[in-house]
Amino acid sequence: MIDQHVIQQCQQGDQSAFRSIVNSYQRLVFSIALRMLCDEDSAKDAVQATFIKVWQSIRSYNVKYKFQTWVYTIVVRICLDQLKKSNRLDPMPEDEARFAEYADDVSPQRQLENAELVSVIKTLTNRLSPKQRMVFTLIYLENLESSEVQQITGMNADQVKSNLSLAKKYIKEQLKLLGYE
Amino acid sequence: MNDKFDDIILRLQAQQPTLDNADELTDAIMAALPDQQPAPSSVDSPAPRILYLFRNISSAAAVFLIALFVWQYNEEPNVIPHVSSAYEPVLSHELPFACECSSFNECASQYLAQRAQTNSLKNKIRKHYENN
Repeated sequence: MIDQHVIQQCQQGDQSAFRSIVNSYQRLVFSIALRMLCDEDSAKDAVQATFIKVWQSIRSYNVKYKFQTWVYTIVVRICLDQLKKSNRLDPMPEDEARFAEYADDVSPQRQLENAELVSVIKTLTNRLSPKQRMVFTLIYLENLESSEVQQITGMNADQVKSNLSLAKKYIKEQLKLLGYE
Repeated sequence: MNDKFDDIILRLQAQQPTLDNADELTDAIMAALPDQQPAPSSVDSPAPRILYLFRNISSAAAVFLIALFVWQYNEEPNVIPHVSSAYEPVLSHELPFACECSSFNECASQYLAQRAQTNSLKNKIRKHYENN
């Protein structure tokens, strides 16, 4: 997505080159942050914190790794820290109502508003731990390969598999509680 | 259950969050950029510098110790720090044998050897009289 020349310019302190990196990646970063944190303002703060960290650390970026994976690593760590600090993301009654509407929707192609998407994810994943939520977001929602998730999270294959399995179990239990057997 | 789970996950994958005012967010990020951290360097970083210093000091100490050892080993002693009673006749020129030695050590060795022979002879004579 971004060529090495632009990264080299950023490493030399070129802010206009960095702007093109921000433009290219901010939607991806926002997507992960919103799906993990389930709050639009927190997600935007995480995006800003991520790019500040990218700018500060870009001189130590190792070109043998994929740049996108490196950026993902930073945003995921920022979100994980945020999740550990904050309390559980308990869904409100209106979140559950939106989820029911989404689950029963007869026109599944409809694009959800951010608030609706947050309600659905929050209702579905409110029993997950921060690490389970992180693995679930990366594999199920962002559709990343397990090997890439291992690189991003620093977990080994067994840890990823175990967290994913527990996440799936808790989500199924949550679906059962909501009446979707 | 699996169907519902898979159905919801599949549909959620297709739902991409929308980022309104992306340009505003970009501007906010660009305005908040701090100074970059310096690139990591193996030469300038403090840990290797300390290791280089430690290596140089260790090398100098090793060379000094080797030189000290060689110097002490080769040096001729100009004083006799301690002389046992066995050497006293030698030192006072009361040698019980004809001395043709070229050094103190050689002379002392010869004296001790002769004294050992004498002691051995004395023991034999003592044993002879004790037995008879």
